[in-house]
Amino acid sequence: MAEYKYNPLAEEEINLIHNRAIKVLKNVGIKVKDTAAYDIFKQNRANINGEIVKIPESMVKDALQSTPSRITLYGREDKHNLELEGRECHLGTGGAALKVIDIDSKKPRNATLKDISLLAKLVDNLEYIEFYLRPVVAQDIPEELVDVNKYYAGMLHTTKHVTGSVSSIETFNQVKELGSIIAGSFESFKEKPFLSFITCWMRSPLSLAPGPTEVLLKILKEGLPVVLSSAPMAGSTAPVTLAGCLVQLHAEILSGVVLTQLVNPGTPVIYGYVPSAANPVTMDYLGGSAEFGILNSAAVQLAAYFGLPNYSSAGLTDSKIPDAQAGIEKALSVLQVAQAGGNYIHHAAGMLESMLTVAYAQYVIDNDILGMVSRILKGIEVNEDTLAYGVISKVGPGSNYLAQKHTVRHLRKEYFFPGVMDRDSREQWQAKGSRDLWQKGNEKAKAILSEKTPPRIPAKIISEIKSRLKEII
Amino acid sequence: MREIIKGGRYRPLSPNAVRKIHEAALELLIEVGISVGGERVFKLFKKVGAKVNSENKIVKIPYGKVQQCLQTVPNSVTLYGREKKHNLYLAGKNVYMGSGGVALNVIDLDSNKRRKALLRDVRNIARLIDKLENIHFNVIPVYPNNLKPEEVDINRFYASVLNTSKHVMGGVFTIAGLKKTIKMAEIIAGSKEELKKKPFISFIACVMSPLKIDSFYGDMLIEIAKEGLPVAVPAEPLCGLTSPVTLAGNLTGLHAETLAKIMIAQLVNPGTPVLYACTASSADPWTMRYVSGSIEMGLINAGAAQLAQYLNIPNYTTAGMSDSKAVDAQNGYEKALTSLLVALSGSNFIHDAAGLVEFAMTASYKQYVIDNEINGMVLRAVKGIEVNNKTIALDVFKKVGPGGNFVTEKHTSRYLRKEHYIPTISDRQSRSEWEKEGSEDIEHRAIEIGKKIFQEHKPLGLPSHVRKKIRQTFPEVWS
Repeated sequence: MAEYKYNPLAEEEINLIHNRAIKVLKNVGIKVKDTAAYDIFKQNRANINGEIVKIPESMVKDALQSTPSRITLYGREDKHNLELEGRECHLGTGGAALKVIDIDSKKPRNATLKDISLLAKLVDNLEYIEFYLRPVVAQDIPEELVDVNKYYAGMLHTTKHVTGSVSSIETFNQVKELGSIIAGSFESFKEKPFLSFITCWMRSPLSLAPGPTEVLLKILKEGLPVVLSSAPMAGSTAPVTLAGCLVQLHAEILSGVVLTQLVNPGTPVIYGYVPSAANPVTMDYLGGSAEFGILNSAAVQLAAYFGLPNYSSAGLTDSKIPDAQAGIEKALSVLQVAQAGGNYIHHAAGMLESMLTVAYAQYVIDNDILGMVSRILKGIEVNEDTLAYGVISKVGPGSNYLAQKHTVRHLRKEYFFPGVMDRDSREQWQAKGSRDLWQKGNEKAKAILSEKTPPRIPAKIISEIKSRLKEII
Repeated sequence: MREIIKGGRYRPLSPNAVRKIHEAALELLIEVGISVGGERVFKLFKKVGAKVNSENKIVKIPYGKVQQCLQTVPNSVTLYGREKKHNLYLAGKNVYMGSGGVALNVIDLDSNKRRKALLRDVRNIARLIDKLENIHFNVIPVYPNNLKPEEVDINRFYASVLNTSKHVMGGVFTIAGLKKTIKMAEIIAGSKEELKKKPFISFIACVMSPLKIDSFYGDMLIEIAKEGLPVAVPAEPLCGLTSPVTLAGNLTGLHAETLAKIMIAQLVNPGTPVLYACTASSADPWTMRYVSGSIEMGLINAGAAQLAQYLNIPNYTTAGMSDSKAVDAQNGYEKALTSLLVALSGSNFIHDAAGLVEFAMTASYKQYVIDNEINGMVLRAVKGIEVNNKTIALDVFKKVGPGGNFVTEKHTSRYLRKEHYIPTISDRQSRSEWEKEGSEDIEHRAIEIGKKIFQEHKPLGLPSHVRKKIRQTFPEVWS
């Protein structure tokens, strides 16, 4: 990837934020209630005061030393491997939306397990969406079957990396079994993890959530890649100032990093966050605010500065439909966070109504946004051939470059070729039915979904999965 | 005065790449040269010592002559509004965003249909821009089809100035029209000197790519420079058509073309406030037709801002357009992407960043309302994150403690409006509230807000004696 080109924070500002986060950990502490994590902190050097655990700077330093600075999240085809390191950028889906805008009725309805399959198939066919983080919560199956089935449905239709969360140790074990069957053994699964986990272990401000923390400790013991995700909201669960929100986020994640390295030194952990700004008028949650993009890109810098792979969010909108507002809000945040070098930018495709709804058409539309953003990341290549002095002097003043070999040779390399965007003349556009992007996105999604494709898991393995995991539907 | 927002946190070109492009452009100017259509410009270059060929009208400009001319270019230019709060301080990496275009059509607010642009659209769009706070200036966006060609220039400027106290910039179509427009502005300013001291209007003089200055725009630039009024000199190379297909090649051509125009202004009148200007774009790779919303356009214009910053010359760039015919998601993301790129690069005067759709051929009323919101969000991003003890708020953490909340803290109410952009048109309701109010998309809300502005907003206008004097001096001015 091209060298990093967008820096929302200056280096001295990063140091100031870090310094204050260290003070928060040392003087304010985190609330650790009823969890095994409490004992782990207690057995080490943390200062315990009732439910509050105060973490000295030396513990943070030790943890940062043992945390890997690079993680590979594997696809089930090599071309889909994701290197998470420094400021390498990858974009993909996200969310735990409850609703789907139906592809036929264009009305919102409850999400189902079938949506997880169909969306995976869509994502498998959209080249700029690089990974599949389960985007919806299936509401048509019993809650205890959701976890293993969503991972399975995802992998059945895409070979891109699949991420999700698990609600209990029991369902974690099912997903671990699923991964092991597909990989051939747990060891080969662990060596090339094509599945990964998110845990929302932190309840902002500065409190551990007992259930998710228990699952986190289990994942850590197995040594599988895990995202620590903290979601402070400036103005309600974090200070209203963006800098204050970042201090809290940084303190929260560092406390998590310390915990992971105490449990299993060297285990792969991802610095993850979904910071946001509350609606300044109503104090409700907002996904599409201008501040959202700034916060997430600044957090990328914080993670990268301390050598931790990062997980961030961009591409949310507060619009209910794929209108111009959706286009504006998505483009602004995705561009910022991608340019900051977010390693694993989720929510970047398909989302509407902040995190509550997804739309099939929106994945197709967002694939174009991600394609354009990827073009920006490539930047401007400057060398003797691209400077084109030879062809400029050959064409000379007042002529054109259409028929030049230089043009043909560089066209595909220098340009983004759009998918569904409109570049017709108004007359052509009218002749084709004056369709807006929502319609065109829907039509493209239908075309992809109607194609017959074989399952992405070999038939033999499918039957093995079904015989060993009774929970698979 | 409005807070000055500084960009520059995004750098698409490395310092080395900037130097390389600058050097290649200098080599172009001496080795390939510029084709000059008009006698006056040709003589200027001849006089300064360029190698001229009177057969093919190509002038080749030595490196030293370019450097010499660059020395008199002002490093900062103030474009005045008729109210102080609207002054634009173009220097360094200060960022301002506004309208642009010479669209032939408008999308009407009442019928929501496309029709030919008229003089009243010049008037009404100026009035709309006057009210919209994140559109900082008015580059006159439409060509009135209902006027005789000789009436166009003065009427475009008069109708605009009458309806906004923000700075007005525009292209001009005849030399006679330019002269009348300047005369009219002198009447408004009170005198020739006052206008020159606080220019509230300015001009655009283009270059034809590749490497060509035609006689009309050449003479136009000479006339503007003689008056010492601010002028932008945009080149518009299109990748694969009128420039090499590579972005670096496009920037090289642009840089050479713009430098030649800057030289002309300085040769005529050293110290003329001139803006390094870029309207470069790309062609659609399938059809090779001009496109205004391509992502490459954003990259090139951000790169151009860096080239101007390298020379320490205030710059004029292009962003914020869309090729969509509908107010759909494409319309939103194309505008947002290019605007954000160019604003983050610290461009001083980003034009076309309001109202334009469909290859810049159409100006749409409702679009100004939407683009005002895009610009507001973009400028918030450019402002970035303020980091100091007060914004870090360690004392507030200590007070709130783990598990508490910040909603009722004084720190929250004190910083809420300072740190958080308050939207004007974006939907942030719950789905049920939104459905209850009619499930309207942003297009409908923009039309409503636009109509409301026309009902309520009264611009500063001009004193009646000034209006009278202008109409007496120029009978062709429409009232």
